Amino acid sequence: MTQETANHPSRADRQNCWKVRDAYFECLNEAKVLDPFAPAAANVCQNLKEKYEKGCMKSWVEYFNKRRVLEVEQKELLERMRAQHQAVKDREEQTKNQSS
Amino acid sequence: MFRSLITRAQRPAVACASFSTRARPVARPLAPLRPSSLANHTRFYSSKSDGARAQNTNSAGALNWKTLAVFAATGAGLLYYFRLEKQRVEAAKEEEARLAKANTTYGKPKIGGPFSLIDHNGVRTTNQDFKGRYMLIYFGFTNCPDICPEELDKMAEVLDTVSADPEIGDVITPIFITCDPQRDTVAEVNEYVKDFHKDLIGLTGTLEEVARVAKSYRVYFSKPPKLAPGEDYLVDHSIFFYLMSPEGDFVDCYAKDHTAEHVSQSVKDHILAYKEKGGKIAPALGPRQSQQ
Repeated sequence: MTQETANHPSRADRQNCWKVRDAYFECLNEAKVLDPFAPAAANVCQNLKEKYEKGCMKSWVEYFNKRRVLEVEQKELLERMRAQHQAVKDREEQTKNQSS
Repeated sequence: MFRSLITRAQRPAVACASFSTRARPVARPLAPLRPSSLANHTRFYSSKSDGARAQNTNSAGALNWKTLAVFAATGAGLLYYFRLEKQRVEAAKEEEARLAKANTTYGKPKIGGPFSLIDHNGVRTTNQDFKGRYMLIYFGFTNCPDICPEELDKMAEVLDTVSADPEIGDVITPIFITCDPQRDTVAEVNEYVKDFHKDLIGLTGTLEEVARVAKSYRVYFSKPPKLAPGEDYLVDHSIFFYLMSPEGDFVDCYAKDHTAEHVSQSVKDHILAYKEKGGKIAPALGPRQSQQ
């Protein structure tokens, strides 16, 4: 069976897609643009975007783009929760020191 | 997995109870969450420190022996209580570790079961064909962007690590089951499994056959509902992989955040415990029983 019979991306295709994706996302980071679908993304990193969209399947591009935004949102949420948790702990610690 | 969930759920409850011993009125709404066995201690300490603090502020910081005595008693009581609590938590942890090692589960979850699918060479294959050996099963699809290939690489690493152990050897059959049978034909699966491990067996089938095996493994999968003809898509699916015993029973499952080292060690522990109990495992995949 040759490589041509398969419709799904091969290991090399996948690795190439991840590489062009990372390059494009890195460029967006430098341009301080989070969401690749946002209007602000239309004016930056066009060359890398083209490579990315050529190197990855359409459904992958959609998935990676959405995940890029989601990951940041989740990270921020986690950090907020951690900060709140720490604040509660600090208050408890303070009360403990006062009462003993 | 269930075990760790339970103990994790218990720990915050304990912490919560010990915080409320400091008798901060704001913490009161938490009180109903306290385990009833701790409630008595809490009330005892809290009423004392409440009183002590009131006295302290009234006498404007003047130290009198009574206040000091109450503080000392409260302090000693708290110290004693925390020591006890620490011992209890440590004992629970040890018990957890012992149970994990002893390979015990609280009731086997009913995961897995008979299946009949087509392998990557186009041969009808059932669960009977894999009896007598451990199975490591992963559900995915060949157009999966990154999680499936990463997990399958991890599975291959686990497989090589475990079979390199001289006490264990080659006792696991790795299996990939597609949850995208409409696109993943025998030829697609054949090409795909070669990317990961020489022993990896790929299985596909009709949508009904795949849905049945996914259901028995509690695997959820869903394809986007509205698709234009030829439009490419992703399949949303559960990403655990499963270790099944030579009898075909569920042994353990592993998630994405488990490292290859962790999974290898866990799989080894399960297999060694099985062998210690006199279990026999076939060193190679026998002839297809379902073909005879």
